[in-house]
Amino acid sequence: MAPRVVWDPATGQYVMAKDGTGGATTTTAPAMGPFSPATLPAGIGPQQLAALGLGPNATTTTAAPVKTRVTKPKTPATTTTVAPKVTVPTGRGSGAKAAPTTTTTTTVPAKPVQVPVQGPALYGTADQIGTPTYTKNAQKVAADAAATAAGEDASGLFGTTGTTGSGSSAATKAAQNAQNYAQGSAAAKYLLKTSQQQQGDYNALGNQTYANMLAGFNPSYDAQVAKLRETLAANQTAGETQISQAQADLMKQLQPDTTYQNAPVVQLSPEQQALGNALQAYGASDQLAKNANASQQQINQQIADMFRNTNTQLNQAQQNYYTGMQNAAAQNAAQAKTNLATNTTTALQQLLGQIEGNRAGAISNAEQARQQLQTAGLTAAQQGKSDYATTMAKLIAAYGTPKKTTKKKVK
Amino acid sequence: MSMMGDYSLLEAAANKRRKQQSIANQNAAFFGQQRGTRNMADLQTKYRQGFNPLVATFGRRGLVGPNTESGITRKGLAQYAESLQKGLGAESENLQQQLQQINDTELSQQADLNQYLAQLRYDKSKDIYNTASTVKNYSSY
Repeated sequence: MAPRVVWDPATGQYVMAKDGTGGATTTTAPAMGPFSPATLPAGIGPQQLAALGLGPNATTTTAAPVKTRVTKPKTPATTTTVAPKVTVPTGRGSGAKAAPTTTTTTTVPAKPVQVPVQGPALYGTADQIGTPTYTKNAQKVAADAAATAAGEDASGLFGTTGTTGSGSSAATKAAQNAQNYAQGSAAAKYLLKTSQQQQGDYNALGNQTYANMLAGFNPSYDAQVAKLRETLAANQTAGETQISQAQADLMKQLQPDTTYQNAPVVQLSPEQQALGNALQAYGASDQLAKNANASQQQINQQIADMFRNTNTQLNQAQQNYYTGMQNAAAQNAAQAKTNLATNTTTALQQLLGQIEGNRAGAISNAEQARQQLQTAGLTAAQQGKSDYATTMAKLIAAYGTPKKTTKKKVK
Repeated sequence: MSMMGDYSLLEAAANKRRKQQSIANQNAAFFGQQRGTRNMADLQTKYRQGFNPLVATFGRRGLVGPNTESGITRKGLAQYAESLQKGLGAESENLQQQLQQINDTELSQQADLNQYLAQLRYDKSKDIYNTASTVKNYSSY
């Protein structure tokens, strides 16, 4: 009988079951997938399934409850009738004209055909998928199945078919071999098909896991990107408003300076000498004094004109200075807006790079999880192929290659 | 780089300094004008007081008398009046230049103040530009 695998909560691993011992409670496995009595391949009996660890005794375990619950069958016992045509060697004098036809009836005990737990559920719970424990369990179960298929001798695997009858003759032995070969071959194909289905399940689980992980973190990253764009756009708008307001305030304050415009210039008229009457008393003229006064007035006028001219030049220089400052302020404002846009773009690119980098890392993790599951599926498929080949080799070694039956041509 | 609040402080300090300068200029102009006016008054007084002694010198030479008119005396007295007028002219020129310099100082200081305030506002706007052009809340991401 094939070893059974049970879940040991203490170690977190599947271990080989010990019948009637251990604290684990044995319960029947629920029916899953295509495995049901109605869909079993022809020629596979309960004993063959049991021999492969896939029969009624295939179990999963849970820590509780303590009681063992076995599902009772709803269908009556299954009867399998095999009627091979066997040619019994006879002597000429035996008088036998034809070999007797042996009808073998196998009555299977009325037990439910339990569906083996397959696929990822066999190796742990859903949240354990992809963990080392899960992978280790899967490998162990696959190894046990391979050992079951390859380790047992052919008689143990296929020899207990419940064949009854006279069977001691070579014809009966050949018939049994043919029957065992057919049943074993069907079981091997069943293993192969199961492993292929496991691979499909792993691939589907991997894709679903990948999609779930993306669906889990993508909204977060999308929200970060949207918030980043919103924040930076608001920052840029606020910055441009500040720059425009500052520029307007500056232009309002930078009015042309009128300090030298129409600035007062000191121009004094020389005080007249006060000897007029006295000069006249002695017949003296004041013409020389008047000439000196006129000359001084011209000097004062020229000096004042020089200052007026200087003020005019200073006023022009001052106007030019303020105009230049206004132009510089306008250029600074434009440059500041350009810098703001550049800084915003730079920050956006940098921060987007960080976010998208994190997203890429998360996608990589999701892809890694998917690849792990796909690898597990590939391993299961390869194991199934190996088991199939090993089983078929055992069958051929034990029973030989069945001869092809050729139909006689009717003339 | 100055902080925003520093600009108003610098502006207030500059305005205060400008008022002190303006008061000094007004005092200088007042005292300059007072000094120039006094100098011219003194000059007039000096020449008035010197007129009669000058006439006396011509009289001792017989150039001035009840029925005597001397060309030398008339020329000498006219030159005396011309000298006085030149002295007054020179004094007025000095006073004009002194007042004009004080005026120029006042204009220059006011222009400097305006330019300084304009530069402050210009720098302030640049600070605002620089601050506004940076990306804030950078570290929150």
